[in-house]
Amino acid sequence: MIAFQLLINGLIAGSIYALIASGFSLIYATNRFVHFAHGTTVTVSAYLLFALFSRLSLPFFIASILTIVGSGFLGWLMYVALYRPLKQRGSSNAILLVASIGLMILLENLMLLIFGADVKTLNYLTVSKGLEISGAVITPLQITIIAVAFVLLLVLWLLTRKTKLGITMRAVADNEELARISGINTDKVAIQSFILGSAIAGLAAILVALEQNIEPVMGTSLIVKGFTGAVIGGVTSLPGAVMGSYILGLAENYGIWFLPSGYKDAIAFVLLFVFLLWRPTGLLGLSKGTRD
Amino acid sequence: MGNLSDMNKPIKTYVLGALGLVVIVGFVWWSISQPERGESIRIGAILPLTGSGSDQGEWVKRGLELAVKEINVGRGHNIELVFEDSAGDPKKAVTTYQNLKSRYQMPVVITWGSGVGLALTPLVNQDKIIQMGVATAASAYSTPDDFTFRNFPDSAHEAQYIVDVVLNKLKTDRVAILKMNNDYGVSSAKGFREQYEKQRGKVLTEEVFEPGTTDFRTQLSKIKGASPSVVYLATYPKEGGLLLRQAKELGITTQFIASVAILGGREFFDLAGDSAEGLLIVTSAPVFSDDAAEPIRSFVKSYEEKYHEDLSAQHLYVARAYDAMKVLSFALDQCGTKDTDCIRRELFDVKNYPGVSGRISFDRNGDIDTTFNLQVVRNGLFLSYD
Amino acid sequence: MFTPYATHILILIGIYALLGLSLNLVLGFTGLLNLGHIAFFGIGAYTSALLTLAGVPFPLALLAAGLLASVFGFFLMLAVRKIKGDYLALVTLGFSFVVYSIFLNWTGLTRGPLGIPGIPKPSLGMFTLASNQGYLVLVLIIVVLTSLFLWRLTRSRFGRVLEAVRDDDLAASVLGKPVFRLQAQSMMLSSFIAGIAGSLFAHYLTYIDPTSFFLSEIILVLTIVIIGGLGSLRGSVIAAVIILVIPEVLRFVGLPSAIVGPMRQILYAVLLIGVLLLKPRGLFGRVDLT
Repeated sequence: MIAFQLLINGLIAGSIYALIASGFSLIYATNRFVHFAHGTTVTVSAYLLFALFSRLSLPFFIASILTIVGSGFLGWLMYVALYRPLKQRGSSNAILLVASIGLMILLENLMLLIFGADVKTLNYLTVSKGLEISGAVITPLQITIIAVAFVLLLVLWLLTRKTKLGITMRAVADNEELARISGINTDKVAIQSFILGSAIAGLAAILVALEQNIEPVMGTSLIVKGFTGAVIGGVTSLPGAVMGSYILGLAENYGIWFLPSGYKDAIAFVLLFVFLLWRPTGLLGLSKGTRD
Repeated sequence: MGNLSDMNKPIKTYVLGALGLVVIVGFVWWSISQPERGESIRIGAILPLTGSGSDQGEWVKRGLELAVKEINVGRGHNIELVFEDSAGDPKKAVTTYQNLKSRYQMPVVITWGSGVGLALTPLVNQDKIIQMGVATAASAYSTPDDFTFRNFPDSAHEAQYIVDVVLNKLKTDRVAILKMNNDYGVSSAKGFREQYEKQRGKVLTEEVFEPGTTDFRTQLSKIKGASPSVVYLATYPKEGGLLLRQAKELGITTQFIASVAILGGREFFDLAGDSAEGLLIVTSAPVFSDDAAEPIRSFVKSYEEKYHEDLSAQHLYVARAYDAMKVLSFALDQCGTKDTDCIRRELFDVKNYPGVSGRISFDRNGDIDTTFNLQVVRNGLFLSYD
Repeated sequence: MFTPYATHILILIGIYALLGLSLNLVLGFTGLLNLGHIAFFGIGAYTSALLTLAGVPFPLALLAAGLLASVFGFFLMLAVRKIKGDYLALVTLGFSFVVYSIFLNWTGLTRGPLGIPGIPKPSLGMFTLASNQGYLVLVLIIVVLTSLFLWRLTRSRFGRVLEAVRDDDLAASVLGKPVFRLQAQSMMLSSFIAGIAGSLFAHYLTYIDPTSFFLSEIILVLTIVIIGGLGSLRGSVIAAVIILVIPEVLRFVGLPSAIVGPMRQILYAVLLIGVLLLKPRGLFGRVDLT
């Protein structure tokens, strides 16, 4: 039944967006600027996985672990080499946003140069018909994606509520000045948020690479969708970002049931624009006074 | 404040100076590296060297280079090919064309792709440069008495053959169309639909996707819902490979039929994997084997010697480019490089040229006529369908 | 006079200089980080293309391109009147995405991804501007006029008040300056110029499609403005020259076509990041990006 298939498709898309949005939201909430290059972290991680698994023939599990480590490292590098120096010279959030766009272009084209524009496939899983549930088909990988998204989000929720690391991050996210005065090393927390957020992107990269293959531009569309999902739900709120991502995934898939398929991205863009304009704090976000 | 802006001055000077130096060096280099005026005939080739269709771009490049090598051996003049990447994007092709045209005086530009061909048509007609399309399917490209030619079948002619296959060989009337949203896809799908509706009736459903799409599940789900027996695919290799794979995952068992535009070497087969099994391909390629008649035999031998691979249906692109280049060189011999009106007349006069892609005659629209045959993909190889 | 190659490059430089100047007006002089600037470029291009294909004479189409872009500029300003800083950047970016979607999906009007080929060369009655040399003259005239106009404007009282608004809009409004009106005027002028540039772009290339007005173009124009320096008209023009000439140098060095593309983007990105890190005022900037 097609309506049920669209639901499944929406959940798959939503899960992918949620994986992106959660890492992004973590970084945004802690650092308060838009790190557009988050999508490119996914791209670079995916190519890293490709290099480790397909070129160097490492076992998939090992390659995956190394990829996640690598993406965390990339996050650290981006903060330390670009964002921190900019912050230290007093750059505003607008500058950091522009810088992140520059970083995005740089890394994306570096991947293009090194690996070429053609689509890379991992060929780890065999292509076969998925499982049929009530007239809708879903592959084991897709089930894995949804499951991993759920588990990860549960883990993140526990992390931010119960662990010292998470609570500290939330403190900084809430009010950086106050946190610093209370003796929290905000720079260390910033680094932690980048490493953690980027590692999540690395995990997302593994799943996206398996499901959608690898090409240099993959990160751009992912970050736009992930960012949109985060905005819909509330960019400073992790559960919000996740919820917004699922809403987006479902809206897109049900939307093109009626509309021509070219409108899929248009749905995302319009939602983004509308929410930014009329409800920038998203459905769940907390209002923190004037955005400045 | 005063000190700060003074400090900026030397840096500014250095930066400007460095940039100025780069610019000057660049232009000097360029002017030095200009080859001697005289015998070199420059022919531009705007091909998808990257992106979807890049394997086809590579094949076209090989066909052109093979032909030019043979041509230059015999003659006094030197044909020099200038390759530029369009990435299959008409916009990029246009800017590349403008750039090429401003650098070289070229009588001919060879192009790949319907979108590219159509976008460049008004420009080549205005500039009086011959455009030879070697992979241009769109019907709108047929324009009488102008500077556009193609050594590739019009998708409308092909549509007649495909519909005939669907109705008479596959014997079904449950048909759906899945097309790519660009000039090629739209034109091919339209040609197919018109033919089909003329002969039988309505197509069950027609779905569309944007170039560069990676997720076809919604379109595929809608097609699955309509339960067709045959789906006509009008797509480029990258998208084609991905969607076949997703179709298999969705449990779609319909027969897919497509034209050569979907073919890529590794680009297509890596993506599709074994979901390309049983794909029907409509092609105008002859059989490329070592014991075919001349000129195919020598052509196959030269290609295999140089590139160490066997030729199959997908190498149609090599053959078409090769023939196009040979035909052009005859015209260039007669007319020289400046008189493109003469070159045009010579091309219209070409009748039954014995090419490796078939016999070539250009009609008033600059189109060729050709016959088609049906092949099927089995184990990554192309076999004749019958 | 000029070789065809130089003519070609100069025309592009002229068009991007107009884009840089207009973005600088709204960013460098008015303090609004408008990442949606490219949408006005596209609106101008499509307007001019469609009108001339429908038979409207070029000068009218050119004007209409600027005016329609300007109208959209006003509405955008209306939408973002209370928004600042990076948030403003995001909303305007979202705006450009929406406009891009319209170009892509309103296929009845724009032919969607198929683009619009065969855009006619500028003509007025019997006289058609067929040659590139002639086109260069047209572009140069417009660039010079625009530059002079902006130069006078930014030196006038209007210009000074505008910069006051940029530096501290709260103070300016307390002092009774009509902040919104000034910002709107600036935005409308900026988008008008961008629309004109779009028309020149469309008629030069003779083919446009939605992808010409999307992300990578935004980066390009932003890079030009930042490298040239905010608040410096001369900077934007010089930066346009630098940005457009460098990839051509790459081409001469003999890099294959498939490499020139990404190398050029990498160079832009490195320049942008480099400027932000090392010399945030760019070459001639008078203000920091805030």
